[in-house]
Amino acid sequence: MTLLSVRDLDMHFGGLRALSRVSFEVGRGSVVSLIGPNGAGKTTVFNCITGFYRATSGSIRLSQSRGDVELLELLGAPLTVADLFPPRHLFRRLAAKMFGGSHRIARAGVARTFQHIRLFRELTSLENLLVAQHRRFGRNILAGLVGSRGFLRAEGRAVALALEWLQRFELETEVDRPAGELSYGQQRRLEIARALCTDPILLCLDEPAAGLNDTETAAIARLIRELVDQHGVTVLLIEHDMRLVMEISDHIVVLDHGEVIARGSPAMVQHDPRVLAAYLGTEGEGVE
Amino acid sequence: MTGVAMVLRHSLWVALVALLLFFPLTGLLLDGYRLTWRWELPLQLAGGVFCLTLLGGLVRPLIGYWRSGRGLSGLVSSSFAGEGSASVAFFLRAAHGSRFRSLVRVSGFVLLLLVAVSLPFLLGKYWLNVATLALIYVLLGLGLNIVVGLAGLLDLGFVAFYAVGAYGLALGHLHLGLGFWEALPLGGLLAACFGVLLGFPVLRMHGDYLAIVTLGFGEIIRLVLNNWTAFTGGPNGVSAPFPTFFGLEFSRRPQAGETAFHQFFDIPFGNVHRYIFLYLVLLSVSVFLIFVIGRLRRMPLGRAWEALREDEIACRSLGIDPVGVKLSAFAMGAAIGGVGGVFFAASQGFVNPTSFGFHESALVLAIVVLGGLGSTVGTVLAALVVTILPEFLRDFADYRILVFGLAMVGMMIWRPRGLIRPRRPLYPSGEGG
Amino acid sequence: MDPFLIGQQVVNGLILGAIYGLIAVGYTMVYGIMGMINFAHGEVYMIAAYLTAIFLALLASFGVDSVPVVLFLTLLGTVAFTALHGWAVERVAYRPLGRSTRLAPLISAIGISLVLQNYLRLSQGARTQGVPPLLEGVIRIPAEGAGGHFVQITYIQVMIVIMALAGMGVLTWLIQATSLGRACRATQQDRVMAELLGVDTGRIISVVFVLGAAMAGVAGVLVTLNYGSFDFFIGFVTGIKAFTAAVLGGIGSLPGAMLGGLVLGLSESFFSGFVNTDYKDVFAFAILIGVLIFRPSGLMGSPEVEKV
Repeated sequence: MTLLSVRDLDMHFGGLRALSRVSFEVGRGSVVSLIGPNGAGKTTVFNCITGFYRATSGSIRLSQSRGDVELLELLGAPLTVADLFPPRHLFRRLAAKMFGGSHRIARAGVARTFQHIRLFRELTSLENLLVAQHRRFGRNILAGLVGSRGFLRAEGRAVALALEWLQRFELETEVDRPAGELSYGQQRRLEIARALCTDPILLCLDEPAAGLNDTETAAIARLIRELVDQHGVTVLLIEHDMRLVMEISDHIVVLDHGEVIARGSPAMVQHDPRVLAAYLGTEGEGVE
Repeated sequence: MTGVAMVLRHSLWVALVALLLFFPLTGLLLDGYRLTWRWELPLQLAGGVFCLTLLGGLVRPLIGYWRSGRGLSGLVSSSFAGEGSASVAFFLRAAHGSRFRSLVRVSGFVLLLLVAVSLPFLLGKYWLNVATLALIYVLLGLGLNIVVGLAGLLDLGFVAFYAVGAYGLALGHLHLGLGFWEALPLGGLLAACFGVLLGFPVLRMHGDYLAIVTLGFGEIIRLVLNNWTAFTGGPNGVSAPFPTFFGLEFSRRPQAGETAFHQFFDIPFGNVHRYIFLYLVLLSVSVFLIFVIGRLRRMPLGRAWEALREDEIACRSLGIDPVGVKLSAFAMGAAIGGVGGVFFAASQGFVNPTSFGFHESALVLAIVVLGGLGSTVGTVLAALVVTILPEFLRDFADYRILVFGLAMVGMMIWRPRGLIRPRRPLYPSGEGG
Repeated sequence: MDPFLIGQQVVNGLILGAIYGLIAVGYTMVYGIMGMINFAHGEVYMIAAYLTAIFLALLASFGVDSVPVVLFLTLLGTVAFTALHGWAVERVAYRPLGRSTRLAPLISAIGISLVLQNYLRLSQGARTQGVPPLLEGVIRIPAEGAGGHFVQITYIQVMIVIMALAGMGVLTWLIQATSLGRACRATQQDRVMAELLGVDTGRIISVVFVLGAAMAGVAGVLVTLNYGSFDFFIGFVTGIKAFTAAVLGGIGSLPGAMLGGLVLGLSESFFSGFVNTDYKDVFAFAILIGVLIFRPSGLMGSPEVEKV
């Protein structure tokens, strides 16, 4: 069953066409990898899906338990003169402009990590995970101030979940250490744990193994697979380490120059001549 | 030896440049259209720079040596930690959660509070006034600390909200007949509204722009207060009412039909009563706010402020609405500033625009920075030191802004996170909590 | 409306705008290279005003009384010493900062501007200072005055326009045509890359501070000669306005800074001429806030794409 379906995604930066008609699907409970040479547009796809870029055109639909949602609509578009009429329409646009933004995509259930780790460096590991669970708490500030029973219960649950993930990612000894002091591998793991704490239906990992050694990479691979198999998480992955990609992916989408040039199972993609060409640059524009 | 020679040469160069810099501006004193020569001053200043640079150059290697020594011991302990780290963590956690620790903290706090409460009864009127002003700066520092220290938004026009609160009381009394107790929440609310109005468009922007817009806004408020004479009284200012004690006035001869404080309690009239009362109210508001801020830091909202300071993009990826969170910090800080303003107006009995210049904003910022961005205890201490120290060192009073400016630069160079690193809130883990 | 009055406001606005533009250059260049607002820049301009008065008095005490010589030497001395101050500000308050927090350079800048203001207040006194009128004489258009109406331009104002143009010309030449300027532009585009290609970016940053301060020095001389009085606090308001000019023209762009200065100068002059003098600063700040809200990339700029 399809969880995320990307259709005809176009992204232009000024005159530069970063993505053209990118389409692919992510099945529920699978690991889908985006691969391709440097500059192929992988991170751009990520940024469009997670709302950090506003795609020029196309559609990104996420199927939630409540029905499908179009992620591009959550971003809110810039106002134009045409929006002034009719008033009801304007009101909707204004509300979207004011309250729209990439955070609403995260709330719709898409979590992500970053190629360059973005942790809250001064906050402790535990706090990092608590920040991610802000939606578990009610919005009642008073309850928190007086320490009402409901608030304490919510806090207890959040702390328990955070500790569980920390243990899962072998960070249980670093609970109260500022995230900025952790080692690089620990930071990578903490970032994934933090994304998981938002309780996502789709987890987007941007090069989770970058900068890790072989042992750490293997550990990450095992972890990702476990997340999918045991916790029912769906993973969309960008990664340069082909061994990792081939080992854990159910489905691979190959991008080159902003276009999808191949898709299929790891075995299929590995033998696709266009993929080889894109990576090795044998034929195509290299010769011309 | 060559190291010392190099330090010496470097210091000489620095002193030479300093002499060049100091010479025209300190050595030649403008006196009308003429000049008075003061040879000795630039020489003394450059000499001072020379000594400091030399001292710094000689001491720095020592500090490095000391640090590396500590680094070595850290290395040793961390290699032991390999096997024992879990038990060490457990031990630390147990020590933190121990009743004894918290008992010490609570009793220390109670002791401090007792001292603070008894203070107005021991002090003369002058020092009571100083203590009141110090507490007002504590309030302002706490407010700005939320904005700058926790949320990481540089607000250079904080004085605007202070002014809104102060004028809220004075003008509310003049035009609407409001008293202190009505103005206290309203002043805070009004300041928060101003904060939201200013913040809403601005908080989407790059942090530096926020700084300059708030700077401009602070100046706008002051100029409007100064120039809109019909409404604000212009440079002459407005008088502000004094709080009542549950409806009892603090005047010698109350208005017809009213009872005064001293009459009700049948004690001789004392001019100082009102100041003691104001101080105690201010103290309780401050203590209450310290408690609230302490709680907030352990709540989703407070955590979101700090997370936003660390990384806005990561916050968005976790579903946190950055504009809303920033606005809440901005409004909360503004409200506290407004409350501080109400107290200021009440304690002075009078407000005029000169109290709300840029220097006031800078002073509060200095308090927050010197206290260590984000640290509540640090902010309170810095506010007390910054306001009370100049009272003891009269000669220092003139130089204080200069010294605070230098201290701000120095802090940013050597200790950007504050003299003491703010303690992170810890959470009970597992069944122990 | 009286056309001569309008003409007079245009003249005043252009003069004001030229001054704002000269100071705005310092903001825009530092922002272009370091991506931060140099809050201490207004104080550097204030120092230039003091230096102008000091050099004028110094030359008078040496008995130099030929106006062109006095002007030239004052300009030279003030610009040199202001540039030295700009250099020192960067050395003391910016260079030693680690990359710890985003707020560090801003707070350090506020600190150093407090230091500079109070340094001048303590060393030269808190009172308003002045300089004697140096260049007297006006041009009237039309020369006879049409029924008592005319547009008046003082010699000083003519000098301001000439000096501002000359200053901007020299700066543009430096940036566009010299190898130093090329290194500056490279650093502005991509600091890391420029560093990799062997550009000493530390030196470039120094150069930018020196050039910006030199322009503020020119502005300080011209303003002091024009208005005749100043105090230790003038850098604050003028600094914000010059920054407004830089934002108006699109921060980071040199011609933009000049254009923004002119737009701001003209609108401020018209506002104070035809609406209200008391609120002219409020008006200027309102422009700043308005521009930042509606066109943060300036009047001509294109919006930035956010990098993740």
